[in-house]
Amino acid sequence: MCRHDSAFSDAVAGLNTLELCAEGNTLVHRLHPLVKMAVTTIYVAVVISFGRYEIAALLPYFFYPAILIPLSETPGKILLRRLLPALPFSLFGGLSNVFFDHTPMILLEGFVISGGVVSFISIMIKTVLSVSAILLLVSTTDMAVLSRQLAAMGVPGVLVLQLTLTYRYLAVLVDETGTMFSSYMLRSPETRGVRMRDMGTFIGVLLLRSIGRAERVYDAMKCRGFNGVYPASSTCRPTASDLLCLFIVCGIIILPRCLL
Amino acid sequence: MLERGERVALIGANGAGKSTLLRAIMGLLPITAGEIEVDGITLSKRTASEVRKRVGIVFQNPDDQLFMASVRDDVAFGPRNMGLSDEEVDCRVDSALERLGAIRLKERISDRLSVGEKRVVGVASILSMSPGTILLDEPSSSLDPRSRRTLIEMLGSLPQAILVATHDLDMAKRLCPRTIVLRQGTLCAEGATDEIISDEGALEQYGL
Repeated sequence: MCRHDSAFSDAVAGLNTLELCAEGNTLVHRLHPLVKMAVTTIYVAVVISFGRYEIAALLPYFFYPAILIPLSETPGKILLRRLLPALPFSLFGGLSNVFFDHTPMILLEGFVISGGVVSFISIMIKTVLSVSAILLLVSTTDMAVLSRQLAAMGVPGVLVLQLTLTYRYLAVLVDETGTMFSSYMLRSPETRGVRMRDMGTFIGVLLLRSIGRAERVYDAMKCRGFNGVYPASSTCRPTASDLLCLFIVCGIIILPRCLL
Repeated sequence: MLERGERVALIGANGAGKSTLLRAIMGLLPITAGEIEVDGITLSKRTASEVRKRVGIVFQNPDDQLFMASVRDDVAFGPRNMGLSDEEVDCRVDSALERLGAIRLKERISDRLSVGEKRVVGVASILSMSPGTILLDEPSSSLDPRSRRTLIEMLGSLPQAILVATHDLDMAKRLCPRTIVLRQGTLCAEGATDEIISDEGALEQYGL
């Protein structure tokens, strides 16, 4: 196996690392999925509810990942690695504020810091906090459990099915890409990845294979009685201690928002 | 004609129409000539869903068969679509997995199973619907010898009628007393598996 092929395999193996953490058995893992989903939703809603110039008010919210990472035994390095790809979107979005918003906000040692810079920092902090919270949810709750919980909560079955299938077939698509990539590299050992002149064919074939796979999956679903409606299964109810935990954590999250 | 509880092998060269026939029986392909009847129900677009309650198919590629996030959800998919209660669905999931000695896989993530395990879960996903007939498309492909032996023993212990499309003549011999040979979409021989497989001249003629 050549160096690039190996790098690709490592990258593929790394994709699942965070999801594998969901198989843990810490206090956070044992919490009812409804509690974790509700807390995550409220946390994200509260974080993004702050105004664009309110940086100081956001700082206390770093307590959530800071406490949850050691408590759930989620490796911080893996979390950071999965967090990084989300940052460029906010980075480019926030940068436009720097160029367009020149309102003087802070005077620091004779330097005027504009509102654009402040809102840029605020956007980046909100992204880091929100994405971390969602990644922590994924790293402590199995996707199958999350799907079942969403369905039980009344989220439309078709959306839950889309989520489940997307999650399931991301892995299959990555496998398919890996197989094609290996096959390509083994027959062109001098190249450093897929050449641009072959890229169109490579992506085209991958698309055709994906369509073929999608048709076969749909056939398998039809053969097992699928008629477009995904029937939800019932899930166990949260216990009194789960609910107590929900109220306490939500209170801690909401309180600073009311005070600041 | 497939009798209740009978096990029949469907053999033929590549492109002979084995998979096409299985897909046609499931109502996945339009039938241009002849008709397919299951338990007195003639297959049509209208009756396809009824036929699918009586006949289950295990596809060649287990990744096509298993599309849910976990084994439990995959095996429960069919019974849930049948409108069964949660208790009945759970009971069927446990029963199907226990029947195949795969209950330990229940909470596993489908994507992380070996090919042999995926194949067993694929069969469980059909068994949970309690069909009278099971169709299998190349069930022994990509399996190591031990997984293959286990699969043959497991299929041999099922009470359902089984139609296996396969290139694996040894599997056909061990599992199915009767064999049908297809060539270019038409039935060209039918009889006892031992007789058909021992006739090397005929097999050569059928492209096997």
